[in-house]
Amino acid sequence: MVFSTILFVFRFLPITLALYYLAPGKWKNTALFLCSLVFYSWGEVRLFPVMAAAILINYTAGLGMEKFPQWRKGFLLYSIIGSLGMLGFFKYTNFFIENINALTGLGIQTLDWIVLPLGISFYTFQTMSYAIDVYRGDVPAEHNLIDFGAYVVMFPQLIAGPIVKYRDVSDRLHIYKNRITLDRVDEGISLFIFGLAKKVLLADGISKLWYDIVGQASSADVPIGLANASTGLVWLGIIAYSFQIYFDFSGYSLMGIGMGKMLGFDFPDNFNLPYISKSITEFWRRWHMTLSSWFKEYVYIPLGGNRKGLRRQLINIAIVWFLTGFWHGANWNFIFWGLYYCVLLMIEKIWLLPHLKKGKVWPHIYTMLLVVIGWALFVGSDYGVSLPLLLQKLFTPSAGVSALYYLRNYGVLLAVCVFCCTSLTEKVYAFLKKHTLMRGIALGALFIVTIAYMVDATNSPFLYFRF
Amino acid sequence: MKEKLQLLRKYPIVLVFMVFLMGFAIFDELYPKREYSELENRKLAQRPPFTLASVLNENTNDTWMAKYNTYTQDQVAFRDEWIDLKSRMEAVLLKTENNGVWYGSDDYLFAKELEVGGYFERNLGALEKFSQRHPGQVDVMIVPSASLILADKLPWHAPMFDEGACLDEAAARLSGLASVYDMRQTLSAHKDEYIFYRTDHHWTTDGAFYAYEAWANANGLTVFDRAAHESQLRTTEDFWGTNYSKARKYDAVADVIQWYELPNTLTVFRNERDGTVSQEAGPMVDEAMLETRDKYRAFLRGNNGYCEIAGDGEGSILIVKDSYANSFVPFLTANYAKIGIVDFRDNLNKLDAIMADGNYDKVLFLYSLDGFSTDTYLAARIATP
Repeated sequence: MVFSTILFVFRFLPITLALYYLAPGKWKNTALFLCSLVFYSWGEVRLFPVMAAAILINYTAGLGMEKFPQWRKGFLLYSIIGSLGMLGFFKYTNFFIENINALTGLGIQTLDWIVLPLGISFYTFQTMSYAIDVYRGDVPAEHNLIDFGAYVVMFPQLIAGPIVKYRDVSDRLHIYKNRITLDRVDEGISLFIFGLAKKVLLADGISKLWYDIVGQASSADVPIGLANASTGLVWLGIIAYSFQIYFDFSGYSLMGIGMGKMLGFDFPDNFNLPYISKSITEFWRRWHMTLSSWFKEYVYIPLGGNRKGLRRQLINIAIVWFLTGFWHGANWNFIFWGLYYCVLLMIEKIWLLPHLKKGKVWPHIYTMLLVVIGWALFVGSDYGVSLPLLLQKLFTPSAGVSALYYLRNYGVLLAVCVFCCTSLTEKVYAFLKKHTLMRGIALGALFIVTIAYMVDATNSPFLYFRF
Repeated sequence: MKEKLQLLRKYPIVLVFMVFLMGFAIFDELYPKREYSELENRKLAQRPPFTLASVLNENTNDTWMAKYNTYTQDQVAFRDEWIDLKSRMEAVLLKTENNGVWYGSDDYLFAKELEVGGYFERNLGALEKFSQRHPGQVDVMIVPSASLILADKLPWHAPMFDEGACLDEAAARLSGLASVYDMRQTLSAHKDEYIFYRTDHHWTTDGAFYAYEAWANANGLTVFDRAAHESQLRTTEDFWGTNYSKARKYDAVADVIQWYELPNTLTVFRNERDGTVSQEAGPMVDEAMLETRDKYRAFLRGNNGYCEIAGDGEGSILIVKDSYANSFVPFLTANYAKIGIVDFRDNLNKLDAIMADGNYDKVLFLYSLDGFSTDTYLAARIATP
């Protein structure tokens, strides 16, 4: 189920909230678990067993580690093989078959029936964090299968993050009385509406600029085509895509965090105005924060982090960024994208960072330019895009359909997008927090307009659903 | 409980939001459902029947859940008003397009066409082959769209694809094989007249007439006498066309349809399920359709797989067409005794067979460029006998 649909906002959400609020304390997790299962199954009920396996494997692994401490390692291995095995099988099998074929000339059939289960990249990371934390003794094992299941399939964060660690929510998951507080619900509503508006008004709005150039698999409209677009238009298009992916993904996270609050949970922040960064290093502290912190905690630091000398640190950075890239998709362009950031981060670490800190304007330009080029690599395997052609169009000036119409048509929206990337939004939010009436009017207007766009929308799922 | 209500007063946004969320959900569920959207000119999704097979459907776009999603969106309470609000908001953002329609000057709405349709090459190739088999019998008229003729009304620097190049290519590839009638000059000469609808993708009856006139003159035929038929000219107002249905521009201006009430009979031939062919005779213009939203369908009583008109002239002609021809064909009654009309969107027969069966002297392919380049059936019906 997609958050930005009438079905979700005016059927699933009110029914779920009503059941959850009315359920007596002990039954709240059951209500949440069942509703979340409906949410998950709405997308693809046929893959329900995958979800059931993810829950059962990690639940039994946690119990096993607690009951038989001498075999802790074995249970951890069982859990990680379970999670990574599922992720690997569904996400990477065909990629490996294709590359083995290309390398050896063999003709192994790809398994075309494999479809990527919704959100598998996210919930396998969450269950792994649980098993590792239990192994380390950072958190006690969960005894109640329903409570554990409610954590794994919890609908606000199931499909596209934030990646919530079990220990982030385990406390509140076991509060049965007064879990839901009105100030949380109050804030949750604001975040939900802002997130929905980000997705529907900004991300979907600006995405049409990019789709005019490359088209969309779900649409029969013939696009301009990358080959026919001028260099200026391709730059404008990739800038539009940069806005789209940010507002799409951060909007989803914000909705998730907001609904988490409505349910009485505090999820970690996932985005902190990444486009105001003055370095790539800073960008990655502000973009998809829960993923970065996951890799830091469960890969980078266990590998030795920065404690074993610069050489070892650089190797560790390379491993983390290869994995980060590969996590985003089973395709070479995502690996390139990860390694691209790896190289940039190393350059900053060894030499550039102190200079960036002194600069005022140029570090912003430097960062955004590299981030936008990064998105070009990232989008390189998308529908209608060929990465070599895209890079050629960006970096060798060529004539074609000009950007003028698009600047004119999307001018206002582009300006709104720029504004919403800056810290001015925080000032507006701080102001609204103090003035309840103003906040009510702003949220009401935004919600109504967003519904109007939802009603008149064609199919537009979230970008990160595919990862 | 009372305390809780007191507390809720301190959080008015929570109260209002929850009441709105639950209230609108219930209201929306109970709100009357519609079969059809007049404004959008399309059927709306209905509540899908719940079956295990549809829940487990392999195609995730075809599951009961996916259909239910579409159903809630299509049937949402105040759907028309929501869409209107969105159209207004787009205007606030100073957009010059909405849902694939460009907002031109003088209240013109243009279909947004960024590149020629994917079937242009295939259909043109098939037309070449057909023309080779029928030398001297084939006329081709591919009509440029309003956005080419009225290009100066398009939004600033609208990235309209080069239609002219496609028309040039068609003319070059068919030269020597068929008679190609290029309507660019003819229509451009009248571009200050009302030759294209503002809210629809079709040409007006006047636009169709100028094209007919040029074609008849080139063929040495007596042109349909408009002055003599002045008394049969009818007018229907309040026509909101396809481009309006898509864009729903809040300040769009309705079109006017003109048509001639001619006495000629149009017979529609339909293949029935039991293998027989039924015939339905009637007027060329279905006046009942003029009372509905989809007024252009009145011409030739809609798009039928095959129909014939008894004309007042001599000889016979077969028209292979999209809906652009529907307002053009009535003028041919002045020139031919029998006019056959084929629309391959609803006709499975090969064109060679249709021509032989009806004993036709010549065939005119009459398409809009958009129709020609998006017709998925044409090539297969004409490439081979």
